[in-house]
Amino acid sequence: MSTLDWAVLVAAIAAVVAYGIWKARASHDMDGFMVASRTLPWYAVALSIMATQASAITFLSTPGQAYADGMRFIQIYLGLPIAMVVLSITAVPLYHRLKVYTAYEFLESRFDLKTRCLAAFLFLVQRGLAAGLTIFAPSLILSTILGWSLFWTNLALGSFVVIYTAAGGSRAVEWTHVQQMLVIFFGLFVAFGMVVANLPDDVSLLDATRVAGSQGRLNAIDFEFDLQNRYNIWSGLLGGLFLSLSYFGTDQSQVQRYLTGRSVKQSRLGLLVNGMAKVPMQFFILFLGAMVFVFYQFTEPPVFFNRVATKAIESSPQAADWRALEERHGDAFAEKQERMKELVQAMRGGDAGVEAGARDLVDAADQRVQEIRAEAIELLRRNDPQMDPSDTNYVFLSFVIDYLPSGVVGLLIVMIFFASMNSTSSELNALASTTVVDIYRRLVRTSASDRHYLTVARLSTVVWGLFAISFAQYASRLGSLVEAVNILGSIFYGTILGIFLLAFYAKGLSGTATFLAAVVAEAAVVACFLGTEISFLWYNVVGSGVVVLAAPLFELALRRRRRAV
Amino acid sequence: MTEDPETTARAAEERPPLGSWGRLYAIVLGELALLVLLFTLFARAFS
Repeated sequence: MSTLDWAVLVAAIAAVVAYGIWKARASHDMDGFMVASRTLPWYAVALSIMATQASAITFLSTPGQAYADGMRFIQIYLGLPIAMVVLSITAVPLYHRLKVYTAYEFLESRFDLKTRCLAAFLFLVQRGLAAGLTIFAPSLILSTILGWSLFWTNLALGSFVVIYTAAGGSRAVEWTHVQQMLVIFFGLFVAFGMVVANLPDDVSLLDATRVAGSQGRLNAIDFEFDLQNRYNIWSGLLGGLFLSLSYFGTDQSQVQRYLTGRSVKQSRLGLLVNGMAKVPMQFFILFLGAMVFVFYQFTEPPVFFNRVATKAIESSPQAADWRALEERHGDAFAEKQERMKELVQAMRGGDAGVEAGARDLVDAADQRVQEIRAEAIELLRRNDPQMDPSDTNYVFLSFVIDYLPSGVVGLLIVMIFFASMNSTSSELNALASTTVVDIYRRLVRTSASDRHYLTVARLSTVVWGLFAISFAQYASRLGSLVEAVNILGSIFYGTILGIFLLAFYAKGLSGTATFLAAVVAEAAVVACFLGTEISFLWYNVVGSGVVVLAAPLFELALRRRRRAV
Repeated sequence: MTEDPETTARAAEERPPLGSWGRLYAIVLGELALLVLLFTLFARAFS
């Protein structure tokens, strides 16, 4: 990075930390720290909800996902708008009426203490680990660019967020989200403009879109029902609906965002605006990735995008084999490049037969490139068996660093930093709130001053920050980060959602029956994860389904037992 | 009989945009259906 890039990065982070601390001055009691005294307008709620969900992982991994696998990942978000409507009708008025600080408080008033604690515990485990991933993603950038150790980078980045989140709680978190999201939107448009500007002079945006389509990168919607297929419209609508209901309706990091709305109307509008904006935003990010893919059809990409792995092999005994592979890759790519130019000409000509012939030649040339790449990955793994064979997360980052001008690189690195800070701050704020409200204040010290609980909440934020930073050290072994986060969430979300569905809609069930059903459901989801090939989106359906079906059976058994006694 | 200003302000605050929440929900779901249609047409047009 140039001096200008560093100046942009340091100034932006310093400004947002200072702004967060300035906003913290009004958080002098639990109400201010937990829910910003319930004073925020809909646009702040909407931007904060979007900021919480769209972590750095979204901006690092999603374009790479489109590069490697096309745009079918968009389908995971199709259930989200439906979930926003359902939650606006059900959860928002209920949470506002009960004036809760956490979603899990409601479970005790509806069921019992143990059900509340189980849901809070599942949330703390899942979100505590996920917070580690959101810190790790931007750390990856710095370690790749500068060769810093991941350990120190994770520690430094996590610390910035802890400072203003511990000081200001929800108020600081939400208002920094508003500023950061505006920078992120600006950064996204600049990135897209830069990708298009870097295409060859004789390749227009229309040509690029045709190339992306011809190479299967615009496959946004798949109507075929297949349980093994991770992304199709059915898993997206149904699994995505359950995932979104669970995430936005029961995950404290999101519930806390709309609890800050100054009325039911402001909270609802925040959710609904998110429901309308999220799918187009993800489409845009994926399309950006598809355009990066097209760029690398005309400009030779590295054999492998993870430059830490390639540098390691360049200084190993296998360096000569690696250089030979790079040369073969260069020759094969040069041939593919020529075929690709012929394909663009054929597309412009409009003759379907000529176009199909040109496409076959591109496919054959691409096949040779992919074979060499597979050999390269095999060689890299021989050199380092622990190496992650997926380089999806590095694609967009490599493009930014190698081809964008000074200043713009700084802006896009800021965008990724802000995205990470957004999600992490919400997560730490929610983890601290749940720890204090559902565990400490309920089980450990039930009667203390507001000031005491506020101090414990701030300390708890720091402790969870340290935990997340520690977990971040292990995140590099998890493959595609965006998938890792969603898989991790899906293992826990279904069960929590099942508990909340019963709380909302099944009036006759007891806490004990619900608790037992939740334990069985979690065991079933873990069994699916460990022992089957079912797509992770279905875990949400399995978890919530088992809770909803098993709870009435347990209730029946418990009543029979009571009658027998 | 006149309502006190606080009640009037609260009623205005809670009044849904476009007259009813149902209309707003329909717009959100309608947009989703439209996006699925557009994505499908987009992929077919360029594949």
